Amino acid sequence: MSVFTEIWSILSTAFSTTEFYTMIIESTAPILLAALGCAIAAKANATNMGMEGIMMMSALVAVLVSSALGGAGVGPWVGLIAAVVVGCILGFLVSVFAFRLKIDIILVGIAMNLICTGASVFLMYSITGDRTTTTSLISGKLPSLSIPLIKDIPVIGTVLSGRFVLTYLAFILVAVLSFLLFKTKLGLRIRAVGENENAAESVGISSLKIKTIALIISGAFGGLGGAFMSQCYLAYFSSGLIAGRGFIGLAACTMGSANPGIICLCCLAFGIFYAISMFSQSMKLFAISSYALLALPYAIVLIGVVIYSIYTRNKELERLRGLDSEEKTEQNKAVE
Amino acid sequence: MNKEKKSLFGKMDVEARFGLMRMGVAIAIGLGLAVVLIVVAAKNPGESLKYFFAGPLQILNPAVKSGLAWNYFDLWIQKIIPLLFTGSAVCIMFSANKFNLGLEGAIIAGGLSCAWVCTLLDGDMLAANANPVLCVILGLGVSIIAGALVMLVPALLEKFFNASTMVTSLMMNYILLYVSQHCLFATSLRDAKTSKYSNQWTEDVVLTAKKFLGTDFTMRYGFFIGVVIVILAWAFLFKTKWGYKIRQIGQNPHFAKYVGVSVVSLGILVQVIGGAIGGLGGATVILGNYNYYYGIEMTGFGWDGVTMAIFSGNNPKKLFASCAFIAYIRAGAQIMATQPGGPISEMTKIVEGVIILFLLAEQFLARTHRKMIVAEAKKKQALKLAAEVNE
Repeated sequence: MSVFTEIWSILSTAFSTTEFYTMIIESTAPILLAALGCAIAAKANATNMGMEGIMMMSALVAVLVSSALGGAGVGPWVGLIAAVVVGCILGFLVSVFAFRLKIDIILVGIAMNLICTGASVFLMYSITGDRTTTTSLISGKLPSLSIPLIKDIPVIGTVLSGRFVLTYLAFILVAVLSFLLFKTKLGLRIRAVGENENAAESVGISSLKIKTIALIISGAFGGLGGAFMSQCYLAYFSSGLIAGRGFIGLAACTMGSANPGIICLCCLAFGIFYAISMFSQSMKLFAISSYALLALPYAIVLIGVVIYSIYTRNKELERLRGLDSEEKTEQNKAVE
Repeated sequence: MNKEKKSLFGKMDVEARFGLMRMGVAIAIGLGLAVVLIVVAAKNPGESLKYFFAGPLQILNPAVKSGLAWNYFDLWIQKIIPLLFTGSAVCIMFSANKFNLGLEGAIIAGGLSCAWVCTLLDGDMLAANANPVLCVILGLGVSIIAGALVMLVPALLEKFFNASTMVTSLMMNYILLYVSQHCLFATSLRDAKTSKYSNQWTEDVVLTAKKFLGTDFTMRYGFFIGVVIVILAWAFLFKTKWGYKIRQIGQNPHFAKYVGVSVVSLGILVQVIGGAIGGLGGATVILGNYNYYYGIEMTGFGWDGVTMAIFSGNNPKKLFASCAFIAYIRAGAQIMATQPGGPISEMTKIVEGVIILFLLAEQFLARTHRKMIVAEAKKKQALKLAAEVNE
């Protein structure tokens, strides 16, 4: 009984504080960026396992470039651009190794994560002499944005206004990516290559080129995600900063069947449970372990992936049943 | 007929020779990169390079104090042990094309369950001290079961709901990490005094380095367990009916299904076996290094398993050499990093990643490969022609 009352007390205090809602939005944004990056690669039938490493490397580069320019004024912005460029380069490298040198793309991703983990710590140690964080560098943060009219609305204003620039960008990019995938020529080609490479080749689309473009864009999203972590979420880079957010993005992408809108909902669901687990850390709990609560968002993703799999399987079965019944009616007609 | 030159590689066919050559080139590129990184980052490159390449073998150098040199050597052995376990686990799983990445979780579960058993049997919880051998055997046995159960979850989710093993196993890793933290901090496993580690168990249970035959030489029992596991994994994959079927699934799943191999149940079997080996590995590492449990972060051993499987081409027989090599450069880098002005040991990750990429790249050195095949064919033709002329 006390477990239920404690769950109720966590939820009631969480949902009645405004910080909780801002926490949801801020923790959703980096995962959303990672998931969108995985989505465009997934639409071209490529699993970007290297997202974790790409985010790590670009997060570090953002800090280094920004601090080289003084960490104020234009510095963080140049850092952001550098992070995106590094993301693009790493995405391109993944495509080169996977499609030109013909290595299994999952193994390329694993190797990429290994290299980026090593390289980020190596670079950080070489430059700052510190092996865990870059707190000795002044790298600054990207500014928050207050929206003129919305900020005056009592409760919603404090939640929706005053968030980081990249947070807004992440949610805008959901729409942009939807438009890119479903309304442009490039999007059509990416989806065509993802559905059936040979069919796409037969109508004159270079699948190699399209997949490379998809992975470069995927890398750019990873770069934005990395910059969010080291320039918005925190103002420095540390070796455990990304903490599996790239992998969660990959899971959210699988759960949302690489569809930007559904992915956004999945990431928000993860963000809600992540915020609950973070929020409960500051509360005094007796019946529930706060450590076990940290596992909650990951368990939710696991359950979400299972539910999605059941849903797709049922849809497939229904489709097959439909085909079956059509066949039978045709047979009956033929008999008549 | 047998007038071919009997060189070192004379008996090998062209594919094996090319494979060996590509491996050599990949390792040369990796080590070259390591040299460049050390020269760039180290304050005293010559000294650092010496420790990187010869660190673990300082026992051959009489100038170094013998105790220190043996410690360096022991570091090498210590780094080999987890690789032997995780390498054979991933070799078996990848042989059946199962990209289950949950080995990390199995290792955590194995270490945790083993620690639990050891504290229960030996620690403060039960006053009567149990037999240390029994304690170790029970701990390792429970860890095998725990590892297998952890891997069974993604496997069954794939069988019943067709959920992506890769994603579910990745999530399992994080869930187990936090379960481990919960057990360590919020249950009776926690040591009330230090509050950082678990309760301790007596040194008798520990499989750490023990003096060997009265010399300075130390050896770890975990190493022998690892060697046995690798041999068993090889025998399973290459000497049993199941292993043959598993390799057939890996080569061509459609054909395997057509000839009546139960692809799904063997797929589950390999993941359970992989998890069991991973769990045992996790327990061996815990018992081999500590007399308490300390599991608050990812070990990274799970990913090492993938590296080792790639290095050995899913053949456990080649695991010894590949584990020894990777452990050697890791130990060398760690020894180098402890010297003043030495670069950080994380640079080995870059080297490993680069070697993996070049080992796997099908198109890398493809032109040389073609030339080798053509040369071989021409040679055979010439021999055939010569034989015909003689007749």
